[in-house]
Amino acid sequence: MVSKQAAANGVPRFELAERTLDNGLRVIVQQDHTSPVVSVHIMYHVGSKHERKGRTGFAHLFEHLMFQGSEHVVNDAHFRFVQDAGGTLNGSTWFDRTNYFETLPANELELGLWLESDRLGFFESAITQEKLDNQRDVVKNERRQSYENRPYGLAMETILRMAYPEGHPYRHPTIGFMEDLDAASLADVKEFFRTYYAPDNAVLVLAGDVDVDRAFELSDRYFGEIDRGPGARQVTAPEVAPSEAVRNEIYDNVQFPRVYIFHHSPALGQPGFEAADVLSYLLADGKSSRLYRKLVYEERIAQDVSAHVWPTEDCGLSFIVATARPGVEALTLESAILEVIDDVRAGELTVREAEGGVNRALRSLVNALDGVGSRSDALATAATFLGRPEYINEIFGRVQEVTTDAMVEVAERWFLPERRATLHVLPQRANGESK
Amino acid sequence: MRAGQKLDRERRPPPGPAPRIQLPAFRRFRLSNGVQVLTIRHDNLPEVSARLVLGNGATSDPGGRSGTALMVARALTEGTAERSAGDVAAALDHLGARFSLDVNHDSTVLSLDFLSRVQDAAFDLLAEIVTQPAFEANEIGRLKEERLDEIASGLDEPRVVASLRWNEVNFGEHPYGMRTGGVEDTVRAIDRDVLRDYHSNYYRPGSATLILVGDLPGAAELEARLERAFGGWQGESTPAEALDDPQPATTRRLWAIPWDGPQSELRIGGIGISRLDPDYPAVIVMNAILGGLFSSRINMNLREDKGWTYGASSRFDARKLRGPYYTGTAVDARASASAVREILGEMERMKTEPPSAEELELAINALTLSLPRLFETVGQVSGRVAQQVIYGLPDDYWEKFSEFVRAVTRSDVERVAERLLDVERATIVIVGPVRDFTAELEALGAVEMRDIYGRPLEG
Repeated sequence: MVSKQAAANGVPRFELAERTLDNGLRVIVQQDHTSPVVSVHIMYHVGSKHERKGRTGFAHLFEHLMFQGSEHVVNDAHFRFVQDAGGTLNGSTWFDRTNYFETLPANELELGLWLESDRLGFFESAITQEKLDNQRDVVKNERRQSYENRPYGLAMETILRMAYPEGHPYRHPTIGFMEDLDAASLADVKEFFRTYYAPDNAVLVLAGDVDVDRAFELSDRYFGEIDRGPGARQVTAPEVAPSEAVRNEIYDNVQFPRVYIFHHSPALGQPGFEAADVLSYLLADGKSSRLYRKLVYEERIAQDVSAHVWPTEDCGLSFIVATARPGVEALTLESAILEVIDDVRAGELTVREAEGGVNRALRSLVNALDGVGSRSDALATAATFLGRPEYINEIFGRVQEVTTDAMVEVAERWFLPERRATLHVLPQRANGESK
Repeated sequence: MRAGQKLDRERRPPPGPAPRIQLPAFRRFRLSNGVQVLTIRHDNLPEVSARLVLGNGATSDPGGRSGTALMVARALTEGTAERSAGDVAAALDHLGARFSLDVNHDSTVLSLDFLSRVQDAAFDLLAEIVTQPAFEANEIGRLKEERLDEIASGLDEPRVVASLRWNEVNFGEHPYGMRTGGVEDTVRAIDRDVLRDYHSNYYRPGSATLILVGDLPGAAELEARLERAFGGWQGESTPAEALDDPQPATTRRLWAIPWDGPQSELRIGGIGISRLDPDYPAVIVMNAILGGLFSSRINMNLREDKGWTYGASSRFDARKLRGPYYTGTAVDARASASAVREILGEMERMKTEPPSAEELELAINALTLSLPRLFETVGQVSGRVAQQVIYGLPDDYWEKFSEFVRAVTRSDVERVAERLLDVERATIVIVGPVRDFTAELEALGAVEMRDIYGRPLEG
């Protein structure tokens, strides 16, 4: 339970309980009676990095199929049951994992457990070619909507191709490529399910208005009878050795150039991760941040700038993105960003701006952990990637301890030309075409 | 299987006893200058969500100066009587506080999220930026350029183009037809005096409500604290000009906007209801069945049956006056005309094929049993309370909400469908490769070809 006392030093502390069922399913309970709601969240240790050649996008397509019914839950009934209970639900696919979650009124905990255990224990008998074909169409439309028909929508997949060598598990995007989506067969679906969807390849998190003992008892009741899997082969995306800087440019149906600067960086929870995260706040979160101040406010060459560290399990990635104002060249933006990085590497950070970065990162963490849904996600991620759900408590201290030196060290080690990929997305007109 | 009864997987497990829903009880008081304060303690985490609600928004923009309300709100953090823009930014960022703003047609909501350990400084800073903005000329010039860039960038996005143009066709000359941030010409016409005037007319203690939710100090301490921070704010409010409701169209309008891409963005709808319309509960139930829920008729048809889209949904945006309702989706371009026909067909079917008992129950349950999770985080709570303030909903509104919604019958749904869903007078906008299927579109009505700015094009 979260107590006021526990929050005395200005950051929260979450009480956690953990147990592993006989079949290997790890169950984590975070009891919090503030609101009469509960989150049921299951995370499978399989994502796009596990996909084989010619089947990109498969983990995500499979995620869609998990909403199409199982032996005791007909076709689209999954959605109806959750909505009828006043709940909400979704799923998502990432490089390293796939998750499924419901937030429900607290008295509907068993509904969530029934739905999740049915599609883990009784999935195969319900899957059909027709469902696969329908969801393949839905996913192709997701790709069109969120990537192909969106300005700058193909930048990320381009930069992944630049930053990772041929065959690297992080080299392709989770949405996958159209021809690979076309190639996915019902046999692939079944094989993928048997390999990766097993209790011993998953973490179940129950957070909210639930008692710990009852949570464990019910988890065992619904999931206990499901057999272990064959021992899924885990994939570790290897760190990419520094080599030469890569750069590229692509043309899109846009008016303004945009610059993407990508650096390899520490993975989630690894040494330097929190420093890299705080550094991203200090660089581009808030109007006093270094990049915003220089690019948007002082030099007025950018419309916007952002910096992010992606929370990956293996070799991490961070990027800076800025969009040019009218009449500004991509190279001008790029040089300005690199000047800021050079300043950081030269140790120009002040203690005061570091404090601000830490404070922004803390406030953002607390906001993100407020709802039981996002708190479960953070717990499941920490358990899956680090084997350590307590990381969601440790992170507050680790963030508070980030110093200017730690951030300079991140910049010195990671923000180097030989760990960098730079992409310019340019208006098609510059390529001799008209809009 | 462990001890106890054998698990029956055939049926959905019965729910436990319904939890007692604790909706926020707020404490209400006024500061000596008239600012209304609503506070809710919600202290499981050491954070506070503050929202300052002002009852005027973009419909109070002066003539020919659309975008004023938005720019006033954006200018607040760009320098005050005490500090330069850079110093305001540095102060907010050092506290770790996040300032955000929502200027819509009816209201302005200024939000500040912060950890409770910095709340004294956060209150002072919020008061300073709201009451003493400098509106310094250089900063205003910069904000105008930023807004113009933003307007231009929006035209790169077919979904933005579709929404903007649909809104203009749907509302015509009514102020709801003007986008809240203004357009190029009106933004250019804004100057420092326009902003100052708007601020002195509408940023007044008597028309402001401060909502605080989170880990707050005791009543006496908080009142004293707020009195110190906001007490210097003085002045009389200017009543806003009363506007008439927008009127529904008399004919179907169909705009086709050429855009090369693999999908078409569709917007289809008309004029809906105001937030205080007595039919509001019936309308949200009807909308849940039509296109509001994942399991709604429109989404099941277009996504789960046809596979034409990643998702399609409908919504009624109930405002101070009658707001819009529309179905929005992005569909495989090859299915564009068919998708329009299916959406119009579903609108019509709400009248000819009233909801089944299951559909009605699902909609009512989804709307009422979801209340606990809609009041979970500090931001959710302050946001819901802000809706009460903006639309003048009674203090016990959320307590009574379930009762109102549960009272909706099948004939209520039929009645509001009949009243509002009018396919013959629907406003339809399609942004996509429309020249590939012009003939198909012409079967749906008189097609007006327009460019992304809404200017007529030759067929």
